[in-house]
Amino acid sequence: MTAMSKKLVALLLNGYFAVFAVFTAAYGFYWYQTQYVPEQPIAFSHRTHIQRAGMQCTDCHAFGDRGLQPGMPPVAFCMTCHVNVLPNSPEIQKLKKYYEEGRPVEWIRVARLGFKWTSGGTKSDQIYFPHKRHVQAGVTCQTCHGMRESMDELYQAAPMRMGWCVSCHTQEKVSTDCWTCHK
Amino acid sequence: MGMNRRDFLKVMTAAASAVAAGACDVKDKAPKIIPYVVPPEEEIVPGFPLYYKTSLPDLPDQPGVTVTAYDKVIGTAHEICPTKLEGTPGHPINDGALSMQGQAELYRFYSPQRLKAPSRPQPDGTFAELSGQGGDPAPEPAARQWNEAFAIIAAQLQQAAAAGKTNYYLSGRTTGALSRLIDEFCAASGVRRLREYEPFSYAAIRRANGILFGDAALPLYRIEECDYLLTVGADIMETFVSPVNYARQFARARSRNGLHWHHCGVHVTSTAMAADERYSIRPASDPWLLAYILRQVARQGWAKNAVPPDVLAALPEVSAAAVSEKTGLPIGALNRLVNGFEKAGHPLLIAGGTATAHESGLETAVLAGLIQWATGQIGDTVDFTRAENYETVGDLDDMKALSEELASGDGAGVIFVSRTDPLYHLPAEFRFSEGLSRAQLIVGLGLLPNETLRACHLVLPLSHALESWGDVAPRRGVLAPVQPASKPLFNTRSEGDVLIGLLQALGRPVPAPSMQEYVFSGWTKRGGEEFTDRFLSEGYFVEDVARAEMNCRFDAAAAALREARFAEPRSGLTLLIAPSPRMLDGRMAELDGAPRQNLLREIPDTVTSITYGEWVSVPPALADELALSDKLLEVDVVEVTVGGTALRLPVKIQPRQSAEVLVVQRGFTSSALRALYRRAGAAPGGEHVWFLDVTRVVRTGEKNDTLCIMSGSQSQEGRGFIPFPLDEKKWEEYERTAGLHTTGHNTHGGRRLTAVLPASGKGGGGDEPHGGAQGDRSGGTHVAGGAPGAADHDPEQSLEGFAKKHIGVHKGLPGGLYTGHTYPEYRWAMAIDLDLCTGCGACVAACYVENTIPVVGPDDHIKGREMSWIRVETYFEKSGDTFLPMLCQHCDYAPCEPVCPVYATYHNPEGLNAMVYSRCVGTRYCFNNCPYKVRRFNWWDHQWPSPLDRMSNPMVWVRSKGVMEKCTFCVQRIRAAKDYAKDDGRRQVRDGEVKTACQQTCPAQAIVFGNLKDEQAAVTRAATSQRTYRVLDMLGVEPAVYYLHGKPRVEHGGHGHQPETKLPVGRDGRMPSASGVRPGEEFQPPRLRREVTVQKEGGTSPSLTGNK
Repeated sequence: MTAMSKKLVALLLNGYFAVFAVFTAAYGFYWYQTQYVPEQPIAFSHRTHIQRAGMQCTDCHAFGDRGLQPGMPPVAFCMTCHVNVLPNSPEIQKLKKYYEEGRPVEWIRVARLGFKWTSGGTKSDQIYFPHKRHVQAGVTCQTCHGMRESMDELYQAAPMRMGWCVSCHTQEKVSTDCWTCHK
Repeated sequence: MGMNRRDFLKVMTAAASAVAAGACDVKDKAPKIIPYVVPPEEEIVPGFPLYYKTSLPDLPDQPGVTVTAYDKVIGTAHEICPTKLEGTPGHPINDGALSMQGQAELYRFYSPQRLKAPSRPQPDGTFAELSGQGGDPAPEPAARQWNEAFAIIAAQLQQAAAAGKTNYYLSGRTTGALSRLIDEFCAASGVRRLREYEPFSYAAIRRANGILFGDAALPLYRIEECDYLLTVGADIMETFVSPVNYARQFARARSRNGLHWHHCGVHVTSTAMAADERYSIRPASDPWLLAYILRQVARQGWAKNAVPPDVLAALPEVSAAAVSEKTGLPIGALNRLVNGFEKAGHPLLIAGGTATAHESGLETAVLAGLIQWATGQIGDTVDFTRAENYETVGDLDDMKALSEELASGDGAGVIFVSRTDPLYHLPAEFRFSEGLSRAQLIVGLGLLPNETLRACHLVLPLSHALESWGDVAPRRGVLAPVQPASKPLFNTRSEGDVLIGLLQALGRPVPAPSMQEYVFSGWTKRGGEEFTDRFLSEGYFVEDVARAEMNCRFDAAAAALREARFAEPRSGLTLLIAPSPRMLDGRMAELDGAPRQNLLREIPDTVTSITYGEWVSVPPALADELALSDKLLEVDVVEVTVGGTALRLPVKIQPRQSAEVLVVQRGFTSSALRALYRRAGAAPGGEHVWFLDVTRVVRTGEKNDTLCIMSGSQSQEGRGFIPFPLDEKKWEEYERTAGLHTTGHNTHGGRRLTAVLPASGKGGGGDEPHGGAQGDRSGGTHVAGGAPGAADHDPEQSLEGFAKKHIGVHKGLPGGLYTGHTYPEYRWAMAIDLDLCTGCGACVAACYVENTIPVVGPDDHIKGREMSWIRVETYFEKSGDTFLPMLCQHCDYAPCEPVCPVYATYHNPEGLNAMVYSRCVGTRYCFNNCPYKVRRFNWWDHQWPSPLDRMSNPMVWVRSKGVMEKCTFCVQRIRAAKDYAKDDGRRQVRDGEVKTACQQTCPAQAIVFGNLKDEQAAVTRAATSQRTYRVLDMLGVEPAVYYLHGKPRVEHGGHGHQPETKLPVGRDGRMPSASGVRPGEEFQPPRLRREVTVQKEGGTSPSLTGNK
């Protein structure tokens, strides 16, 4: 083969693999953003609590309308019901163990604002996102978090990236200035 | 590259496995949400801080602080982490403000260098923790360590009792409940409590007041009440007693009373620069100066209180010419000082600092007291009713007696040394360490390792005030709580708990089971739980104190003066060991044990602009003589010989410094300088002597390349940062043409501008209803009567004209590429009053903590990579000396914006020059294009070693490597204020709701921030003031920081004399009667020792020619 054709083959081969690599990476990224269902330390089901127990979001996430974050229920709070409700279920036993040992349940975060390769894949420390302002403006929990009431296992329902935020801000004619959200 | 296919594959495989391994990491690094196990008692709304009102007893003025603390997840636990300290509003000491040291206190609290458990110091300077064996067995190892320590001390106390040895308790200044508890502990355990040791004890003043008035107290100086202030030696804006309080009062006095301030001192301090007129006097000539003033006051017949002749007879009889010769002040200047007292309704004299830190310090203080008496200051501006609480503080005579006692006999039993570092400070001639080492057991209590703690046998780590219960009583009748804002970070206990634990170990009855219960029982006694709740939520309590009626004991005064030696002023070259505006007496240098952990080192020294390094300040004349240079990286090193010891130090050439004075600051840590500090002895007044004779100074030829002098030049180099000529004559003309404050309520001879800033508190111009443009025209407001018209005629200066130009739609630059800006709701802007700025640097420290700015250390500083978002520039000019706080100017046409290739910096709709960190790619074009040099680049991912990382403000993103950053006008505070306004049902933020960190902490309230679109806003008023200008306005960048430039501050000799009519008169409007005005002695061009001549136009360094 001539040197020329050798180069061409190398180029084609490299290109072939490069395209593969790019597609794989892109798919991985897409998967992590949307389809990633992390295994939680306790198989907590939002569906059960909302549909069967008839609870409201704010029963546990008490600060949605006045906190920057909606807040997570303390382990002791879970135990107030689960002392009596299904105390022998293996998952509740796990919860009980956490409570008795005085350890918090280390939930894996599902709603990840932005995306960053380092420090665990979230940009939430760079973004000022007050839940209270959105809830008070009438944005429902489901708008961003999806139909939590029908989810047994949680996944991120919306991309939660800047373009997605801005599309809503533009539509609702609220500020799209960078410093509204970027710290 | 010589790589074959096989190697390539190997590398690729290795890399792929590394990537795979890294990917496995994802799960561990997956962000988690950690709930509470049990909810906290007080409700914490996620994302919002908690506030605690407490005090900082470790600082000399014991200010009240409001702690901002966020709930943070540390590991898998929620912790309350203090992230910012701010002064408690309304607190009688600091009223919302906080000094540089107060702002930086979090660096001490979170310091990784803190003592972490009871331990034994090792010969190599480290501390070995106790094993926890040998005490009462307790369940937790932490408690076992303490029990072991208590057992050791208890055993030694019993042994000492058996041997008949004395035990001692020596501490730093203690007030409030802890002081009572120490008394109770000492009584119950057979320990003798010593008078406390503070390097700055103000002993001479207290002793003099004891002689004169029978109350050996340090009075409260009511600067806000006075209209004429003379400070002799006392650096009231930096280290003297209560600088934040004084700065607050000074600002009020400036705007309310038209304060005129003279300062006499031997070295250049920011206090000297803040004064209207500075007089440079010879070291230790203060008693001569004050004796002259006293004599004149008594002789001229207008003194409010008579001074009997036998007192005057005890004064040395010297002529004005002789005093002039001794002090180095021309006779005209001497008389101006006397006249100041005569013309003032409420004068105030403060003598201290360098004035009392020499052999004749006590005489100085006695004479100052007599002048205060004669001019009616006692009970008026010198207030003993609310005297500073220094009752338990001793002086150097006490320490000398202790040293002798320790050295005699069998030595002491157990010595407790708490919160004080006598080995660092005490004169070597006392031989304190020798006596100390003979003790059976030395128990050190402290927060951070220091020299004394390293010499102890046993070290008990104290909790920081932010982890302790207690209270402080900084002044008579003022009580403030100390309450924890955080759990103890380490195995530490508060001093009260240590003492209670010790009593328990000794088997003695305890006053309360814990310090918390001890202080609560004390508070409850005052007024039940109601009092306690209010006390803790307000953060201070002021009780009525019986008014102190003072009478002067002239016989004692005369006796003291007859005994006085009236030593001749120092002649020849003198070395002054000056207090450090940053390290105070040296206590703040304890953090220097590890690099990049002492914020106060990172902030430039106010006058010299030096951050890291040790230096000697030399006067320009000496620098000329020795051909010294202080050019960065090529700083000349001189050898200073003091009493047979030679010191090699790099120089800083200090404009305005007296020709015969060299200055080193306290708080340097090299062993040579520590030895130098201890070389100075004790003065008869009981204070440290700050002056040492210099045998010789020689230039070594050696160059120093590590001294971080941050200011390239202390001259404006004709760039006009302060464009108005700071010239007395021109200023007068300016005042006249601008029609400033010439009539109206503020009739102090046209001395001061009526306040345009509302921050100046009650009264004064700031509170006037301000009708904007209408008000201006009716002459009813800040441009009051006088020469009206300027405001009307100059369209620029009327509000409408201003609004047209600065607010709303900008037309853009004529012929420029860019269109103007529309600001629909807000145009954030700042105004800084240079007339009030004292250059204290509190704003810089506040900015560092608020915005989590990294401390980068000396290596970066020497390369000019400092990270401060606001800095205080110091200029020494022919026409006056000025401070200029410089921060991002948030220009309308910011030069940094168009050059950014990635649109990371842009102009936001509220006028902020915004920076989106995640967009920045680090080209630094903006940095190069900024005319103000306020942009900073992150050369590293800066590290905050644990637990310093807990200090970060969660409302601010910590910038990563390769990102530009700069002042944001505290955008996080703007967001918070908007959030609050919306909750309150308002669309707009009210004026004053957003306070930037620098504004909030400013002791002189020189900074105003707000919305320029609000015509009533304080910032708009300030921006439309006649004395407003903008730095580098001619560039057309339309900056949003407005500077209100100050009156010229006059260096003695630099200017012609002040016309008599310009001297201030009292608030009662007492004008000097025709007969009362003596013909003012014409100012003679100084021909005495210290003639200051300015060399050339634009030149900064006056040459000082003496008759050497």
